[in-house]
Amino acid sequence: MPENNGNAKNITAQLNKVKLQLQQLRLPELGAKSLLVFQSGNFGLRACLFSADKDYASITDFAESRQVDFTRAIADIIQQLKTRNKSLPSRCILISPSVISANLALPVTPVKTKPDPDMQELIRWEIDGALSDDNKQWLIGSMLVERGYLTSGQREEVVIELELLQAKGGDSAMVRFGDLAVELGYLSTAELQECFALQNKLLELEQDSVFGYQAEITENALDTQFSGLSDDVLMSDSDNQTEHPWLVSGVGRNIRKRWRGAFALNALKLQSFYPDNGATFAALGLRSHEENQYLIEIQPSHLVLIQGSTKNLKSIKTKARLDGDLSIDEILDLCPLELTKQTEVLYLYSIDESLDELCFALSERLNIEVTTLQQAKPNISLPADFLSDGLLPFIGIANHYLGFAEQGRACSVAAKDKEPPIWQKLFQPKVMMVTAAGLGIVSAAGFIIWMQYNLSYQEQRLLDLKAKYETENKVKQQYSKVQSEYKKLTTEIHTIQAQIKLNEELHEYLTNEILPASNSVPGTLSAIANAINEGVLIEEVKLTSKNIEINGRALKTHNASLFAQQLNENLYPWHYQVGDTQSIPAKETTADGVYLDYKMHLQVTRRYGKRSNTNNTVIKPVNVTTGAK
Amino acid sequence: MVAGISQKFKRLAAKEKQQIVILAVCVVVSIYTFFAAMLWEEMFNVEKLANRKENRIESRIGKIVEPKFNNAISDKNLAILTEKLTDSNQQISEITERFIPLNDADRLQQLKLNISALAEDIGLVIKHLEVQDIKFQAKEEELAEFSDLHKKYYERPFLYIQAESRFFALVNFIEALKELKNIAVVKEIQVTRGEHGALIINMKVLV
Repeated sequence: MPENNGNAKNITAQLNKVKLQLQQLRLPELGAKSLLVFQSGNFGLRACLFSADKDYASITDFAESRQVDFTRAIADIIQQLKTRNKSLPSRCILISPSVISANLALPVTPVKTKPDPDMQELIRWEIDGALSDDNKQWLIGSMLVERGYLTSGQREEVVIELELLQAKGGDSAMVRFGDLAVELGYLSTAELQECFALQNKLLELEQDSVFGYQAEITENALDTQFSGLSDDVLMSDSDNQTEHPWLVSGVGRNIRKRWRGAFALNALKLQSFYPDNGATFAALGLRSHEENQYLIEIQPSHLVLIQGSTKNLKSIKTKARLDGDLSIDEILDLCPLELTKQTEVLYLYSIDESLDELCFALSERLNIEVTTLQQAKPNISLPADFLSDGLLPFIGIANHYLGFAEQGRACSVAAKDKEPPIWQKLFQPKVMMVTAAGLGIVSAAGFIIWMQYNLSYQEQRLLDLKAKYETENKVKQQYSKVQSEYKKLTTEIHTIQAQIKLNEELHEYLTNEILPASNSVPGTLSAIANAINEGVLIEEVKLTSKNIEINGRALKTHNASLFAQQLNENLYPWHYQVGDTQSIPAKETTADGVYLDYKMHLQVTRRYGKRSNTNNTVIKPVNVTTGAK
Repeated sequence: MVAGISQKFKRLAAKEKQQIVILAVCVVVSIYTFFAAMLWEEMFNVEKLANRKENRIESRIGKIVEPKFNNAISDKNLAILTEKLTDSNQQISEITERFIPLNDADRLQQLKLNISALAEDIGLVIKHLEVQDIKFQAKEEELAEFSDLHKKYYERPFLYIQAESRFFALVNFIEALKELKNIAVVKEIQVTRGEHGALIINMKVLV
């Protein structure tokens, strides 16, 4: 298990190293064939147009403006460049004395940088003391000299006069440097006001600054970087146990915003800010490959000592210049004691001062080679009062920005805050609050709209239903009325049909049962009478509507049969037929004393339909003794 | 005016601004809630009324089905049948008007008298004459049902006649009954030979 943990930690460490390498690997920007580099200062605004090839960016044009207003100055320069160039790049960077630079030891490992807001906050705390000696460059005297309205000698005279007045005291001691210079006739009020305006624009009064940061890169960066660090530290999010050297640059937010706005108004996208101090150190890196490099920038108002290696700017130290000409002691005070041990060459850079004598003197004193950092005049037209050495900051910074110079030799400040990822933006409390408020308002409005819509819908539905109710009710009533009438009519028809049927039945009864009897009874009686032959005596006739019973006597069965046959014939028109007939021997006389041998009994029934074929008219002889038929 | 209010608001302290914003939000929320509640109630009531109306339509009217009618049931058919009934009634009346009304005892007595007179004229000696199964019924107009009206023709009374006569006198008597003003029909007759050739007759005459 410990071995596995060790392997895991090794893998993590390796991944971190690769990550660091990737972070430090800065490829030249694709498509960045040309770049505009601006430099602001007391002189106004200057710009160089750079064209990049595979590994170097070279100057192709130069322009300068002394306009105090940023926007106008940029427009002026753009106009100048456009007259000589077909097209200009839209991206640009700015070298500004408003940008400060410092080396800080931050408790942040380059492997795992903290989120940008944390880094900004950390640098803001650490850089507090690094802003001390820069401010002298904004003194009105320095600005007037640098803008050419006042010579160094005149400035010295004004300073001496000012000290005398202050020594006298009184109201005259309250006079200011600029006003005194105007009184002495060295410059006009307009020139003084112009410098005041520029001073106001360039001087950052606010403490709120934004920073860029660059970790120090060493030759054996990875090994050195992580030596002595435990795997736990490497894998943790923070590294508070060790400090790492960082090169940082900072610029006031308002200054940055102002400059970005000015460039945007001229259709230029400002990408980065670079500090004016130490800008030439990036250019030195393009020429010198010594391990330890020292460069002193001699600015009109201050001196800057930059110490570094081939890859890094390791320290930058600024010191205000004393009044009067630059002395060798000022420079020696700035130089560290170990300078002579660490390097054999000291570079000096100044844009407007001749340094030959100073180099010689320094070389004698330090016993090392002291040489000036110079730039040969390029094949472009430059203003008469502008020395080609002044292009060095442009060259160094342009090549640094384009990735042709070592990244550790300069540090830029992004012109615009890095936009957080969209998901982070969405989860910011303010955005969430606004989103929630928006959703709430939308929901509330949606709810009202829904209610209004539903109300309209329900009102319309109610109207439709009322109309439907009335219509359907009317239809139903009409149907009901029709059905009622139909039912009544049906009842009437059925009643009438029943009555007709009853009438028919009654009519049939009367015509078939009742009325025929008035004819059939006498007819039937006559038919019976007419059927009597000589050997037959009728004793009783019972006639009903359905049958006739005839009882009588017969001399012989033959007589009875003849009677029956004749009776059957006679009764045919009256719808009777002789049915069962009996003839049995008689044992007694009739009531009136007649004796005939046989008693006869005939059953005559109603005949329906056709005449029966069965011949029942033959009287069946009955055995007297047995009485059987 | 708006600009003035805006300026006044801007000049207020942050806490006062916050209080005013909270107050404004509360007022807006209150107005919204009140408006929403009013709208909700109105919407609810209208929806309730609509649902009630729909329910009323469903319960009171339901699904309207177009009634189907038999073509035989029509006024025209009714008229035909009525005419037929009239004819039928006419036919029945022609027959039944000769029946004596069952609620008219005088006419019944008159019929009995006529029959006895007829028998005497023909030579039929009536020994016994009585009315059987007579049920004096209510007047025709008081009979509710048509069928009741008809019943009286199925349940006619009889005159039971016991008589003596010769055969031909009997036949003549029965034949002569047809000539009476009212119907008198022999429904049953029993003829028995009596002494000396006389016939003893028992008959039921439907009147």
